Amino acid sequence: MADIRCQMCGKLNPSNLDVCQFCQARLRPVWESAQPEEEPLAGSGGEGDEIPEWLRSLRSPDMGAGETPSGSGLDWLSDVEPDEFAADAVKNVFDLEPEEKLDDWLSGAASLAEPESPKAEDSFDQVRSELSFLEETPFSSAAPEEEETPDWLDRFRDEQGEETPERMDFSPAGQEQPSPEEAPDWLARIQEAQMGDWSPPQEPASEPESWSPESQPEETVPEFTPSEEAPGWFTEPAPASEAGEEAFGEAEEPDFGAIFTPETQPESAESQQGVPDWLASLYSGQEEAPSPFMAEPEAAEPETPSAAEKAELPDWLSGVAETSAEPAAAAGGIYTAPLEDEFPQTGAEGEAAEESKPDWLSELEAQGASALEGQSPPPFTPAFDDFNLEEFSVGEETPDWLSKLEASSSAQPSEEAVAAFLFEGKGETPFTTEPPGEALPQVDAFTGLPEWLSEVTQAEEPEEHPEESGKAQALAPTELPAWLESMRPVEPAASATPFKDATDSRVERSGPLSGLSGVLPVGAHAIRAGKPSNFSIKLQVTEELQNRALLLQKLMEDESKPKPLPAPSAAPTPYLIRLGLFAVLALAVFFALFLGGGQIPLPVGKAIPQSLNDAYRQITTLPDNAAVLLAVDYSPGYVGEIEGAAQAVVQHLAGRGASLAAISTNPSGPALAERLLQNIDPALAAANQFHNLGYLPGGTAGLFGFAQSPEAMVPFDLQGKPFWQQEPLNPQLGIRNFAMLVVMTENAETARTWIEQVAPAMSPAPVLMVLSAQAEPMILPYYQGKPQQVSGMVVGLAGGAAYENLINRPGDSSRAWDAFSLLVTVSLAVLLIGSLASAALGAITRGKQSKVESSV
Amino acid sequence: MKSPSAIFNMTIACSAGLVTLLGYFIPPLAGIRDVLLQWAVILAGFALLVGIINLLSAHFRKLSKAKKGGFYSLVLILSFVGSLIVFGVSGPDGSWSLLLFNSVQVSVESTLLALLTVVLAYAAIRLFHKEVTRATVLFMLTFLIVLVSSAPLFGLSNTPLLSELREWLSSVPIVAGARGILIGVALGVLAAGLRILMGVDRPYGR
Repeated sequence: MADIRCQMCGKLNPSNLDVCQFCQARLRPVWESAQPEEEPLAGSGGEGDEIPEWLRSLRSPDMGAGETPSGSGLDWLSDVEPDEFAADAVKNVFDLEPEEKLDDWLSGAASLAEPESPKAEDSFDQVRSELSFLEETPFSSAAPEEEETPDWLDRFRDEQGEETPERMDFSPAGQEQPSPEEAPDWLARIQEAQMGDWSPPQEPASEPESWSPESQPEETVPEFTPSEEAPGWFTEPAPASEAGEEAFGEAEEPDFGAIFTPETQPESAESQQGVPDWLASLYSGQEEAPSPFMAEPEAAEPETPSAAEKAELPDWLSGVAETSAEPAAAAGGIYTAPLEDEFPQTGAEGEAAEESKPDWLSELEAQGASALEGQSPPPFTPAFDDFNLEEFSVGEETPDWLSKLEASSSAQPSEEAVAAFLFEGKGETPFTTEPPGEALPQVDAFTGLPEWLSEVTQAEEPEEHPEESGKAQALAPTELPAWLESMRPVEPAASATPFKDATDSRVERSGPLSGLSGVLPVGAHAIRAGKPSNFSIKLQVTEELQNRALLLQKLMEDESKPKPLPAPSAAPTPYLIRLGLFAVLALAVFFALFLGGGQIPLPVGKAIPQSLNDAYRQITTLPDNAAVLLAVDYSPGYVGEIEGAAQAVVQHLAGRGASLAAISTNPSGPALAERLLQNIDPALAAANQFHNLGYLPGGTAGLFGFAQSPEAMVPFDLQGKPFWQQEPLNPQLGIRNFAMLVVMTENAETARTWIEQVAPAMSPAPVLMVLSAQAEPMILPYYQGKPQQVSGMVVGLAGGAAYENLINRPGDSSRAWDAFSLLVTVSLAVLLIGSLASAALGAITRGKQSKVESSV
Repeated sequence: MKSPSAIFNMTIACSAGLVTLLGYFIPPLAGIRDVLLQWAVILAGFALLVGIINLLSAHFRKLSKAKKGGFYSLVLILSFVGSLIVFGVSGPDGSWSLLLFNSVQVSVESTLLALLTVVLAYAAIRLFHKEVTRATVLFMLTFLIVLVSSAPLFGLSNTPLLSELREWLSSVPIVAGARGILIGVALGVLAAGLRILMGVDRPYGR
């Protein structure tokens, strides 16, 4: 199958497509793409009962479904209708609203604008060329005799119960008649109705040719008669008569009326029979049976069908009739003659058909007849030839389908709008129809474009020249549709009106900006003519800056200069003072040594503190052969102060026969303990009476551990002998083996540790303290507290001297008592004098400084 | 995020402290407490030894690098070595040990304390040279009273007024102040112990 060329884009599409695959334009009319599977209407079929009677009458009883009456002479119409055209489709076509179907019909008609046929000299050729796509339909290639009646036509036959007439040959002469299957059903029905009366012309089967006016046989289209035989115009192609050509050429419209002219009627009288009157009227004259595609002449006033006819006419057809009347009146627009005019009926059947035909159809016939009376059929005008938005504006009598189109486009074309295409005349559109008498827009054979379009392009060229001449010639604004107009961008309000500075109302009067306001003044006062002042490139330094620079320079210089040392003070250096103090104290000591000692009495009586007396009493009441634990925790530097008192206590304990065990938490303690034990009167020292347990590390934790498990902490003495297995110690008792604890230390913390960690474990054993004078205040609360944790204290050199006096054993403390007393007295005097002197000197120095500061 | 070693150390310290504390109140834990205390004594003794070694190493390093004061480091090292030899040969209670101890250590330390007397006297004299304030005057009066009451020369200590005054000073202000200090120390020790038990303070390192 040959491809179908799209009339819109000009591209080839497969024949099986209904819509162009490139531009989505319809390739065939709506009725062509109806369901092909539907069986043609039968006489007893339900669908056939719905077909109007007038249409049924068209079908020849002899014609079968799908058959077309032969020799009808209107083979072109059979080429148009496919075989698969169903009765429903036919019915739908006639029953549907114009606005639902006419658009497709119109689109199909619009596709006629670009025929493929070669250049046609007249309008008829143009129509032929426009309808050339129809010849590519599948049904166009079959032989007329061999083609089957279209289904729609067969349905007609079945309904009528008549013999299906021969299929009407609508194809042009020389073309193969469409097969019965390919012929439209409605055509088949028509043929059936006309069976018997129709005698389609016997045309030889020929290859389908491009439908063109030139190729049309000279035989005219036979008159359609409602007979068995299909009218000639159904089977015979459009006549290529001169009348037809003239009709199309001069009137710019295909002269379908020529098809129906009496001259073009088939010779066969039988073909006249059975033709409906309305169809016959088409053959009565061009003026009587105007072409359905013919436009009314301009002189004829458009007459709208009556109300009765409107009721009977399908909406799409009535609307078309109305709308075609107006544009036809205005500029020869689309006109669709009543269907009766298209298919005139003659004869008895015609009369019967006329009686049965609906009123709307008869009205249309009358209108068409009256309109075309005496007039040649108006030339063919493309469906969109007179398309003008203004004519089809909302509110006027426009078809519904067209009004719908217009409703979608809210914007009315404006004359001020820029035209999409430029035309010489205002309001001209590509669809403007030339006034009658002028040639129909021809189609350029080379470009394939309609002539009107080429005229447009030619019209554009001269407009380029006016642009050179002046700027006053503005482009003719085109009328934009409402919907497009609504899409015009709205400028922001801010930029709607240019801001104008009202402060400056001066208007420039000279120069290129004359007439404008808000321009910078260019007058003499704005520009100061003259030589600009010269500025020195040298740095301008003010007096203040110079002063600051000098100050900064002086500061920087002072940093590098050595600072003068301050004058030494008049007061002696501290070294001399200290040296003098040493000398004084040393003289006092040497004087005491010079005196020999014993010059100063030892403390006795009330001069002995109570703590010392308690200590003496505790040792005196110590049981015989008791074990006493000595804690020798004083440092070697305090030997002169404490060792005298410690030694006196140890002498007293030794005289009491106590077993002494010395232990120390000080690393030098064991050595001090040995020194202490070796100074004891050898008469008092007995074998195995003194034990040195050595050094106990761990500080507080060690004392606690020794208090809890002394055998584990100190299993051996300093000689390596097991201490706790010796007599009188009992290993079971542990620390409780000791009847007294004597702590000898100069540190109050050490004394407190022994008191807090070990004394509770040895309770109720008394704890005696041999302390330095500096530790007495801190341990005194333990002595004065209740319960009394310290039973007695021997404090310092004075305590030692007093204790030695008590036990009547002079020792180191007694020997140092004279020097100690003299030294303390001298120190007291030195401190008094020195403090006073220092205070006086300090006051004098501060006075001088204050005077100096005040004078500055 | 704490390191695993820090967590381990804290666990050991806290557990040992808690066991030692609970050992006072729970008799079954007394044995564990004693064991832990013995370990602490051993560690303390070993720490003394480590300190001595560190001291020798530092002075030896100082001597080897010929830094300033290297002579004294040499004296220290020689003294240590000599003492170690003497006490090692003679024993801790030997005659040579005691001779060395008595002639060197005791004499040196006693001399240093004797110099302290001169320094303290000079400081007392210079106390009024800067500024005479109420604290300095009070200090000086207290010092003189105590010092006079301790000076048996000229029978000043036997003066009834001075003896009673000294007795009152010793019993009231001094003891009160001492008690306050002892209470504060006790509370501080308690807080420090709890912080160590709870792991807040970590004297053993993080």
